[in-house]
Amino acid sequence: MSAPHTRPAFAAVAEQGLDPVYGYLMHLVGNPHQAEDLASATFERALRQWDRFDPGRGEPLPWLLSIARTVALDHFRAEGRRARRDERYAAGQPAASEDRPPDGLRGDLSAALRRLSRAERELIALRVVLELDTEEAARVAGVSATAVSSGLHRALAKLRKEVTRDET
Amino acid sequence: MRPDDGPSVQRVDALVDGAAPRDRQERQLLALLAQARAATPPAPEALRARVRHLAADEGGAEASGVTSSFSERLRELPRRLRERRPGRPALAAAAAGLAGVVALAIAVPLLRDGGVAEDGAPASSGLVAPGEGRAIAPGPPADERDRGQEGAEQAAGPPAPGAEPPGPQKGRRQEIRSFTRVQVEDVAALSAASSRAMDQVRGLGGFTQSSQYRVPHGGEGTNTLVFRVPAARAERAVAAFGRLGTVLSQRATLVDLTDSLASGRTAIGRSAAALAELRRRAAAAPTDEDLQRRLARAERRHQVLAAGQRALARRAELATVNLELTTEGPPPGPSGRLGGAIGGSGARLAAVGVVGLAGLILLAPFLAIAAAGAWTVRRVRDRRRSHLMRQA
Repeated sequence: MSAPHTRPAFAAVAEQGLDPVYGYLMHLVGNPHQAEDLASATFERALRQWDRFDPGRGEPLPWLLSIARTVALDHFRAEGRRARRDERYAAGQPAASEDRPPDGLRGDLSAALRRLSRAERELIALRVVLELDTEEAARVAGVSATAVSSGLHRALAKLRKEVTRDET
Repeated sequence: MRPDDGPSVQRVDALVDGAAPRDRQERQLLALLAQARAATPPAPEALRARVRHLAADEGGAEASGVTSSFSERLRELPRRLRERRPGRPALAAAAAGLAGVVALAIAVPLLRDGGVAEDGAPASSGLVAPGEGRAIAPGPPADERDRGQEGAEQAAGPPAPGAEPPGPQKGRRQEIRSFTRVQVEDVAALSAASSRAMDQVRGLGGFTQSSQYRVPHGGEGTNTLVFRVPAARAERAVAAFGRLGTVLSQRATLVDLTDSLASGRTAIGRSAAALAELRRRAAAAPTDEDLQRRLARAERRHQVLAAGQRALARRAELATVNLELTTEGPPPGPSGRLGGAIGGSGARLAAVGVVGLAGLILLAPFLAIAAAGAWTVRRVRDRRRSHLMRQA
């Protein structure tokens, strides 16, 4: 019989996972305020579900990122409903001024990244920024490892083109 | 892949995982990856403080960093079962469970009713007299009158362990009928067993009433024998038949004739008394024709009663013992106490299997609907998530 795995303290897991989770959410939503709110919601949910975390099944970071992904998807769904409601309400009203959310990503790459889809940004975040291996990224994204590799290849090719376009 | 797509899928994976660049394109890609990493800001201090405050509220177990307890692992079990595919330990556990069920099925009958007799024949549970509706225990030991037949009994040999032959109850007059089906090896053994059975019956003071010997095919045959054996020795005859081969089936009936014989005796006594009175009166009045007719009628009735009583007494004296010797029939089952229990366990397991299968058939439509529903829900959820993630 194998020895039970040592369960780390939640405080330590939260400390180590805060920057990666926030960075992941930043890539997904692109808005620092929303990313902050979603990160906060992620850790609240993680604390509630902490007794379900099995250290024998993997590292805490992919587990935290899975929760963050679910929180983000819930947010996108709610945003979609709110946007549709706003569209119905605003029908026939004078057009409001374009209120672009602030861009939370730094550097010259931020505009090019914003033109990628959420799924493409997610793969870049998981594999490039957070440096998860293919299997861990696949588990978080809910796809196969092959899909992660090919998706990342496409995402980086597209990002390269977008950067080239911005430069010209 | 087009040339402007840059490195291949495998190379992109390798570069992301830290491989050294080989050409200008790969160096450009690495620079892009470095920019992407640099574009990601750290978490703001306000968020860090909020999460620290949140983590400070965690329960004692998590805060102390103790290993996952048994209760936690138990709570995790349903999720693990849901998420994990059955591996070798699960298969081993299933095999052990199945072996346990089989062992239980064998052990229960051994502990409960002692299994079956050594020759594999099913244990008898007593006999039922149809006329009286009560269970009759196998007959008592032979009474004093039968002691003179010791030699015949020894010729027939000791009773077969598996046979529970019928016998009359002491002090009662009973009609006994028995049927025994015995399987023998082949036609040669059939003939030999028939001869032995007839010899045994003769040795017990009985006789062969009929014999139907049939060998329709070259290798198979049956001999149906009807013996009449003194009732007190019927049990020995049946026991001896049990050793001729493998007992396939056995049944017996007992009909108690004691009361019928007693009432018959009373009726005959009354008839005899009436007859004697009529004879006395007829002797006194020999010209009375009416009296002569009544006397003749009474004599006929008395004769009928006496004949009936004799026939009834004969039924009680001689048991009808049927024996069917055959080369056909099911193969002999596993012998011995354990073997019999295993055979019975097989039947019980088969019954459980049939019940399980029937339950599965009944539940199958509902299970199929539930599975289809779960699959649809999951599919719709995945599609919605995928749609959300495709948006920029």
